[in-house]
Amino acid sequence: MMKMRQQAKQPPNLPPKQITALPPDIVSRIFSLLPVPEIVNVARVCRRFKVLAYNDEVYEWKLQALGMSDDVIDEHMALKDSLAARLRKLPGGQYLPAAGKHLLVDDLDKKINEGFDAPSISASLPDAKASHLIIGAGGLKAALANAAKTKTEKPAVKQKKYELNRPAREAFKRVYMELYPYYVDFKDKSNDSLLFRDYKDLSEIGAILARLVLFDKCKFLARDTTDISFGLKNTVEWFESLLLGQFDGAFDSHNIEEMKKNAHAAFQLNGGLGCVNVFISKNPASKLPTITGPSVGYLFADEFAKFMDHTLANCKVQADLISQVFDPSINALTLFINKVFEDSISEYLTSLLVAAKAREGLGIYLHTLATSVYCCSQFVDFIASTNKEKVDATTIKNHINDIFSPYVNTYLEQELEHLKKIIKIQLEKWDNRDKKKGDGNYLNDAEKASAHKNKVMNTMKAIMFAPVALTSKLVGGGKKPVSTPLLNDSDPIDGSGDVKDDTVTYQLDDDSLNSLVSLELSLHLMHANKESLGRALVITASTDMTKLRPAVQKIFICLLKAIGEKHLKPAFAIAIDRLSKSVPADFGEGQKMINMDSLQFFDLIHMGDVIQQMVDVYYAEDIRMWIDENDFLSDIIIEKKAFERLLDDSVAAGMDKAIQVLINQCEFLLISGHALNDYNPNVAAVFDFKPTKACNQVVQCLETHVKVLKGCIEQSTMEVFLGEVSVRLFQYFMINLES
Amino acid sequence: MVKLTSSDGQEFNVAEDIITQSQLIKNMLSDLEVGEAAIPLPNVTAHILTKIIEYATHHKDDAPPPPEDEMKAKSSDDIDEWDRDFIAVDQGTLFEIILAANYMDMQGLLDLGCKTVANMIKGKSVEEIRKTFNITNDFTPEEEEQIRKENEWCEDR
Repeated sequence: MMKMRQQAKQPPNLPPKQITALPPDIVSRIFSLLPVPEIVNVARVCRRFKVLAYNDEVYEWKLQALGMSDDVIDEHMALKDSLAARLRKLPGGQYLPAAGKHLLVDDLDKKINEGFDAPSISASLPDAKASHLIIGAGGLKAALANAAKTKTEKPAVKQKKYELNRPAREAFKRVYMELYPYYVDFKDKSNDSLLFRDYKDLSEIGAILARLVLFDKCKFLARDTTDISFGLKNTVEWFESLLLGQFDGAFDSHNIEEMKKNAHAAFQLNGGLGCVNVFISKNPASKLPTITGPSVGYLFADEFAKFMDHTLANCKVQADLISQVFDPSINALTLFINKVFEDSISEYLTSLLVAAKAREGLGIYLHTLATSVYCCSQFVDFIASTNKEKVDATTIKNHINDIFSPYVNTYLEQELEHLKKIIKIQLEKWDNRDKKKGDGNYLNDAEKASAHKNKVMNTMKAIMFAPVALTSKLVGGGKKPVSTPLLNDSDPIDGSGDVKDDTVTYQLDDDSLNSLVSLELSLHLMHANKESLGRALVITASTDMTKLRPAVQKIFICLLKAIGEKHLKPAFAIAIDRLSKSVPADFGEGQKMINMDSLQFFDLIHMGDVIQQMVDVYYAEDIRMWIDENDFLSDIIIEKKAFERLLDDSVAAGMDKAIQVLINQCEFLLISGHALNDYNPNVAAVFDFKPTKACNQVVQCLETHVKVLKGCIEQSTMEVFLGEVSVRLFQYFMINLES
Repeated sequence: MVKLTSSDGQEFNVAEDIITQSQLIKNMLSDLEVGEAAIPLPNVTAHILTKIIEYATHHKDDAPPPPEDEMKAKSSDDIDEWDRDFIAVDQGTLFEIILAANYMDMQGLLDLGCKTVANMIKGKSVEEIRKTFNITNDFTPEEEEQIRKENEWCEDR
């Protein structure tokens, strides 16, 4: 102090400032920093100090520190009005920096809106936002009543202006007088303190102890309170362990009343988490049922569903109990369910998934994973929707996500790996197929061919879009011991059996003309794909929606690549290769006037077309809704275009060869069937304008081709074909005529 | 740099990041086109403004205080050493600093000032308080006794 005094250069005409120069809100603020017993000292100093020491602002902060934010703001504001008016008349009042103006309620909003002149307002209005009394863990009855009063009488603000009853000071006085004797009583006693003599009800004791802890934190007293704090702390700990012990006992003897009493007392004391934890740790629902017997295949998933049913039933019983025993605000059910997930479900899940993976392979593992993710999210929705007790579903869902995240993070990779494996197996199976005999005659007839196409498409739709339960079992049929309804039962979809025969063995008389692609194979692949898609949808939807679209894209692209590049492309390559090696042959009378290689190629076009339609249907029904079709840069759109282009290109390349083969055939027929002198007829002889036998054969050959093609290609392709054939044939004739 | 003019006409140049600890100045700078013109502070003398700038310079890197956090228990014991030395001034200067901090809306400094005054009151008798702040007793003995009785509830026996 001495140091600074030398520097002080007060303007000579002004006396040094007195404490009376400070605005009332600041003096109140200073007083609020004093220990409670010393406030009376400043009140006794002078009249001005008395007014300020009795000001509610001094006590509001203390009340808040006790867990009661007293903002009976209407009265408060009214008081401030009159206070400011009175203070300006007191000595020093004239120095209040426009204090009167700031303290007028009407001016407040305007000032705050102006923004820059707000300082003294915010200092004087610490809690202008809150509007009614909030009772903390203490639950003071008088304050509660007060709050109710404030609430109900809100509209009658005007009235309040006249009852300046200093609520904060009065409220604090009540609390202080109530707590003080018990507080100082802890000085050197603990368990036999006054508190336990006056109160018998556990909840009341808990509540008062909770408030005493706050009282202690505020350091209201001027003296050293270390020993009191120590005694209080010990008592609180002792009391809590008493409650938990009693709760424990009550739980064992199923005494709900007793549990409730102790839980409530613990809630009053410190939020009651201790009791919830005891409850959870003793609860049968958190005990782990073991995996019942060795399950196989898809039964793994059923196993989990059963387990979840069991858990759900258990949880419902416990939820009832919880709603009876615990206070709703501590959200015991959420904690409980979290615990159930953490302890029993996640453990069960882990062992189940490990077993599924080890014993049954990736496919079953993925199926089980998807089922369990689905079960869990259903579980939460169910719990959240059916119980009276409110459950914080988001918290639980986050928790579930944590449990699943190690599995889900690698899920997509595994799913793709699984898909690729299936594709590989299917392709290998196809490569080693039996060369069965069959009848491909329908190709000679356009109607039959299109009927065949329709039949295939219908079957495909029936299989692909039948109810999920049915389809999900279809593909697993090979590995699964249980019956597969689709293949064995005689339900409407039985057509699939026919189609499989039709498509697989769909051949011409000649063995070399085995069909090069398989509809059945494609169907199988699509099935596996759809299954994967279903799993991916379930898993991404209940864990991370943002991963849904990429997952769908990746899975569909996988299918496109398998069918396009691994199946159709090699098939076309073989067919084209054969066509280019094909040599014209002499057909006997009555034989079909068509080259076997060409026929095979046309068949391939037909099949490729059907497969493409199948893919389109699958895309339209199952994929399109999940992706953004307008995003031309997305992988899925690009891949789909590539797939279509691959097919078109292959058809075009093959068609070129096929036409060449046809022309060669015609040429062969003409050369072999015509005698040399047919072109240079004997002048003497009568001109014979009838077509030669070779000509008839050529016409017949062309007719056969057209018939076959009609069945398998589109009109526009047909026109191109015909045009091309006639151009080339004409060219050939011209060359011949010239010679 | 921001130019400030004290009530007695002295001009001060202060770095913006220092003086914007005053909400008043901060709001002025963001709301008004101050430009090169000096901001007049008619309630603050050059002497006090020097102190204020000293305080703001020392605390320029402090974390901004939580907005009006009244929940934390108020205690006047937690003043750090630099602040204690800074605020060791005569009463007149102390009150002027408090008034200026209030006017310029500098919560940290205002808090420090209030705590210092509270510490000056703590542990003193009524008569000692009157003496410290040079206050005349305007109560009759009966009135004073009445107040003591009214407040018996808060005596720490």
